[in-house]
Amino acid sequence: MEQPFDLAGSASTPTPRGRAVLCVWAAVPGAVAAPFVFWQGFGWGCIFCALWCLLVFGIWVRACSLVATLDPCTLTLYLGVAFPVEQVIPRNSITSTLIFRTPLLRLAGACVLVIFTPGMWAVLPGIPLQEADAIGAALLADGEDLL
Amino acid sequence: MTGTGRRRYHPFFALRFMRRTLLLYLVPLVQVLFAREWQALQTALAQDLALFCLLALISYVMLRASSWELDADGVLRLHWNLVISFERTVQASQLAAVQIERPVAYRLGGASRMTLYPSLLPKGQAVTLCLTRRDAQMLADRLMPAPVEENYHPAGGERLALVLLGANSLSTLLLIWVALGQGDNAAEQMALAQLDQAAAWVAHWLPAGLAWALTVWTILFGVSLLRSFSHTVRYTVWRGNGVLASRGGLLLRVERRFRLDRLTCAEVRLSPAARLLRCYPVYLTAGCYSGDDPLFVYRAGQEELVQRLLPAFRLPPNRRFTLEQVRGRSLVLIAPAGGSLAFFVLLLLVASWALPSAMPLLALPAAACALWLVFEVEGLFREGAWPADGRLTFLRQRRMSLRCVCVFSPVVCLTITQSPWAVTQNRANLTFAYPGHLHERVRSIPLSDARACAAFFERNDPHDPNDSV
Repeated sequence: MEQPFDLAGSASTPTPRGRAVLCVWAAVPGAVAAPFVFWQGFGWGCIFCALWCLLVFGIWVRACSLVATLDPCTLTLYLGVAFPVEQVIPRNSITSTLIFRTPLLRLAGACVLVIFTPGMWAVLPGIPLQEADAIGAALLADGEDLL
Repeated sequence: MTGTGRRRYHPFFALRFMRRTLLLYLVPLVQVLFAREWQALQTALAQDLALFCLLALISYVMLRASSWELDADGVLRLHWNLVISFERTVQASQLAAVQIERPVAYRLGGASRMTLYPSLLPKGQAVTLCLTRRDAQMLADRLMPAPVEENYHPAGGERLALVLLGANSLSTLLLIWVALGQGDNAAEQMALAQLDQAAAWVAHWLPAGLAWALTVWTILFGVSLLRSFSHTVRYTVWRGNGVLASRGGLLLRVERRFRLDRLTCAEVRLSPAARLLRCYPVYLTAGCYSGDDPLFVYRAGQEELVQRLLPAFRLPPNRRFTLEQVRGRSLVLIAPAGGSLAFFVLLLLVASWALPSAMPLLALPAAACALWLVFEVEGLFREGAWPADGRLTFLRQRRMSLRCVCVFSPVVCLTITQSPWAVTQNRANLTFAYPGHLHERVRSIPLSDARACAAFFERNDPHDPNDSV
C-alpha cells in the first residue's frame, strides 16, 4: 500500500526522473535550432551545442538543488549552487496553486507545481504528484481564512 | 444598505475614447503632404469630419451600452451590453484604495475620474471610471466610508514645495544667464581659435547646447515642482472608520482613501530638501496603488502625529555608523554615482585644455554627482532590513533619498539572493514582493539580517486579525 506523504518535517525535491524531464524540455529548443546553426558552419554548430549542453547542465544542477520545506507559517524554497536563492512565502499569502502534468511527466511520475501569491509566483518543477497534492492542499487550507 | 440601480457614466467617459483616436485624424492629412494642393486639403478635412462623426457615434454607442451599479452587498458591477454582454464585479471589501481626481476640465464638466485599486491584483488591473461628481462621491462613501475622526491640516508640504520652487526659480534664472553668455563666448572663441570647420562647429555649439539643455531640464523640474506645490494647496488628511483619507489640490483636486487593514507599507523619504527643512513626506502603498505623491508631510518633532494617523508605523532602528557595517559590502551600491562622477571629472579634465568655456557647465553636473555619491555612501552604511516592534522595517537608498519603510502587509514574500562573491562575504540581497507585483530590493545586507527577516515570518504569524494598522 502506498504511504501518504508526510508534510511535517519533510522536504520536497524534484525526483531524478522529474529532473530528467526538465533537461529534455530544456534540450528540445536547442535540438530544433542546432541544424540551422550547423548550416551556418560546422564550428558554429559545435560551439552552439556546447553552450546549449552547458545550459542544460545548469538547469539540471539547479533542479538538483531545489528543496521546498513547509513550515507552520511559511513555504520556503531553496535553489541554486553558485547563485543561491531562498524564497520565503507566507502560507497565508498563497492565493492559488496549479499542478500540471505532461505525458513525459506522467511517465516520470512527477508534476510541476506553480504557487501564486499577490506579489509573485514560484515554480516547483518535477516533484512527485503525491507531494504536490499534499502541499497544494495544505497551502490552500491555510489560505481560506485569509483576506 | 440599498443598491444604486443601474447608472450611466459621465459623457467624459466617451471623450476618453475620442482622445485615444486623435492620431487617426492625421491619416487623411498624409496625402496633403504629397499633393500640396488646396483641393487635397479640403478632401482631407472632409474625411476628418466624416471620421469625427463616425467616432462620435461610436462613443455615444459605448456610453449607452455601458453602465454601473452598486448592489446592496457592496459589490460594484460594471456592465457592457451591446451584441455581447459582460459584467465585471469589484468587491468593496477587497479594495485597498480609492482615488478621485478632478482636473480643471473635469470640474468644468461636473465630472470626476475615479480609480479603484484592488488589494490583490496587479497594478494594471486597477479600475478607472468616469462618473458625475455626485456619483463619485456617493460611490466612494459607500465603498470606503471615511467619517472624520482625526483631522490634520499639514503645513510642511506647502513650505517644502515653496522652498524647492524658489530654489529652482533662482537656479533657472542663473542657468539662463549662463546660457546667454555661453553663446557669445563660444562664437568669440571660434573666431579666435581658427579651428577647422567640424571642431569650430562643436566649439560653437557644445557649451551653449549644454547650457540650454541644463536650463530646459531645470525648467521642466520647476514645472514638476509647481505641480507638486499645487497639490499641497488646501490639503487635509483625516482618519476614521479604519480608513485614512486625504483631499486637496489647486488645479487638480485629488481625494484618496486607504483602507488601513489593506495597507502594504508606509515609507518616509529623507530627500536632501526634506532633511534641510526637517519636513518629512510619508508615502503609502496599498494593494496595487503605489503613488508618487506623499499622503502627508510632518515636521521634526511631530512624530506623535504619524503615530495617531498610522499607529502601527515603526521607523527602522537608527544605528550608529561603524566600519563593520560596510566591511564586505558590495561596492556596486555606489557604482552609479561613482561612475557618473568619474565620467564628468574626465570631461572636466578634457575641457580644461580643449574647451575651457564649457568647464563651469560641466562642473555643475559633476557637483551634483559628487552630492549623489555622498548620499550613496550614506546608503552603503545605513541600508538594511530588520524586524522592529513586531513589524518588518527596512532602509533603502534610492538616488538621493533614503527611504525608511515599514511593512504592514502579511502577504509580502521575501527572496534572498546571493552571488558567489556575496556567499564568501556572508551578504545577500533581500527582495520584498508586495501585492500588486511591486518589488523593493535591499542590497548587500548581512545574511544574518536577511535570515532574521525570513524568520520573522516563520516565527510569528503576522496576520493577526486583532492586530489593526
